[in-house]
Amino acid sequence: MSEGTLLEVQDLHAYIGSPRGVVQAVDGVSLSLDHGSALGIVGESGSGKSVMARAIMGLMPPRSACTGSVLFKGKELLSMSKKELQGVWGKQIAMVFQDPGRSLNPVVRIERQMTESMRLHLGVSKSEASSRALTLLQEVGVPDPERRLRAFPHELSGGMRQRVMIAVALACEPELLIADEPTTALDVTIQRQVLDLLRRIQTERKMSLMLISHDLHVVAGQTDRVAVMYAGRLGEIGASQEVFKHPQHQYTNALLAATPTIDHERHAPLNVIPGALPSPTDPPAGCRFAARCSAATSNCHSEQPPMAPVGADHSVACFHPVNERVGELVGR
Amino acid sequence: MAGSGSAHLRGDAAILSVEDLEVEYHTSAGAFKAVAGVSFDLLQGETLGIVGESGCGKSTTGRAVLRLDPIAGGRVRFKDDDIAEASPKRMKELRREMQMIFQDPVSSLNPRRSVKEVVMEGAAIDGVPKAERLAEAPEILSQVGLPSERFADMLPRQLSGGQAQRVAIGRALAVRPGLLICDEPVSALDVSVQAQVLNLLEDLKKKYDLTIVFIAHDLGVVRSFSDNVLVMYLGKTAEFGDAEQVYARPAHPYTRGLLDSVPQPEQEGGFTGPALGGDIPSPLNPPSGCRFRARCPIAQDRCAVEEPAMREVRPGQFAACHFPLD
Repeated sequence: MSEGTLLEVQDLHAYIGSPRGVVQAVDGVSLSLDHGSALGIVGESGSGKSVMARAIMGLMPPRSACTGSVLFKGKELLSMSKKELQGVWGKQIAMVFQDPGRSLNPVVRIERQMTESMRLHLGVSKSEASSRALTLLQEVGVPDPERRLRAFPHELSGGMRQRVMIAVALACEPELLIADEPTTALDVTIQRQVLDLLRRIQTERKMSLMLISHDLHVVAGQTDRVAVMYAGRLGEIGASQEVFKHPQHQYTNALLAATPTIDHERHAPLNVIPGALPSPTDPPAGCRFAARCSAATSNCHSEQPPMAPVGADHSVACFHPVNERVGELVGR
Repeated sequence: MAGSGSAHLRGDAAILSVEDLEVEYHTSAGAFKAVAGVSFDLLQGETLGIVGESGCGKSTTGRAVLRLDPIAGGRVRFKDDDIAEASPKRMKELRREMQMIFQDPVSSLNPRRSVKEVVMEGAAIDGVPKAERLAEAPEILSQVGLPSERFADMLPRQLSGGQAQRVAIGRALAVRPGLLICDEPVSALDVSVQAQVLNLLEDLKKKYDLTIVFIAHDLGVVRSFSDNVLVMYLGKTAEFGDAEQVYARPAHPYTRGLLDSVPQPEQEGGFTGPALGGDIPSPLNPPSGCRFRARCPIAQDRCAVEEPAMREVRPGQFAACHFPLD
């Protein structure tokens, strides 16, 4: 673990029991996040990105198991008791979720939702907590914050609620903020505002950020590094610009080619990823993307590709990284 | 936006013509116009993309064309029929020619019917005998990429989101419509599946010479799929024109703001231009004059008092703005 590392995830497996068998939601993911930097996690449904965040937080559902290691400032989170974790939650690692409507208590005014955790975690007085709440709402750009403190969640727009959630997450000055699809439920102009806000507070507070999204376009412009997950495994990780401009994993490349951008040629067919995700309870032996991959060879179906460096800060788990077949590619 | 007016309409040549459409919703807090004077038209075989954020009235507009929401004002003409005036009997016939596809594919399918029954629902309403319907189902299913042997007897809940949307598309096409209204048809799907469904729609459009109203919030999806684009804001039209032209050179500040909010990772900061401030106002209490003015970076006094009308800013490109962008 290097000097600047805040979070180090090593060979993390998160398995969840289900009526159809054990779901191997996260299956051997390793990555690290430095102090003050932003890491993006990208993947479609079933990639394991949200389960990984919950495993890091110790928020796994019943009938689940995590193995591997999650070191936060050198301390193992996976072996902590619930009581020990309560000292981590909020104060060291805080989380923001996709649906701000459901994370707020609908019958409690914003002020109490913000001050309760501060009084509990920081032991500050009621009036001190209230004045901090007001400052936080100002920091996250909520207009007319005095009035908003007295409001109920339903009186705020989706974008305002997400700003309040971010303010709640910041209340105990965490060193790491995990934001799981924080803008997915928001309109594009409001998404933009929330992304700008996250970037600003991350820089101003020198905080670390883990930004989880299904959309590589959302994440790549907002983070220093990005990790791409597919079916519980890490496919590729590296500097965000590098991964976005020169994707090396066949999945990342196919995903970008399937996304209609605002300069896509009109009525031109989109590149398609054929097929569907493999079974999460009985995944294939080799590369999990092999069955949908146009470059797959026989070893892809039988062997797991190891993570290997392809650049200064760029590694990929693929037997046929994209640069191997430049010229054969269509569309990108 | 803010604006109304119908300078961009092309008259009798259009197969569907919507003029000053108004749709009212009644809530406990009072009545408001979810659509407050929207005009657009489509020529045979054209695809019109309607974009805008929550509450802009894009879905309501699509529903009102089929009279699924009552038309409170204005005129909707499909071929030779005035939709607001059509008798219930005539409306039933018209709904065969004008089909709709919804956002949530699974909940738009009857959960108790098998896939082969669902795709032939339209024919059943027309009184086609069951034996004939079941004979035709495999052909429809194969056209939407679902092999009949595997899918015909499945129930909707056994399908993935993408497969369910294919069934919904098949059901719409089974009655041979001329006009298809797609309301956020791919927004519930993952990107890899979304591309499959969009390509399918594009193929079927060519094959059956369909005219399509394509409603979506994703600007990239709309750009790749549409000939013309209509940008809506809070129940009004902001801009209308050729999609390539509007995206390349937006005339309305709202269109500009929308496009600048699309993540562009290669740009410094991840975006091409400044953010739009503020929130979308409540339609219950819309701003006076131009409805966009409260968020508009270039609003002047005039914008608060006078509602801008649609006017041609460049050949084929119309905007409802007193101060259109160059």
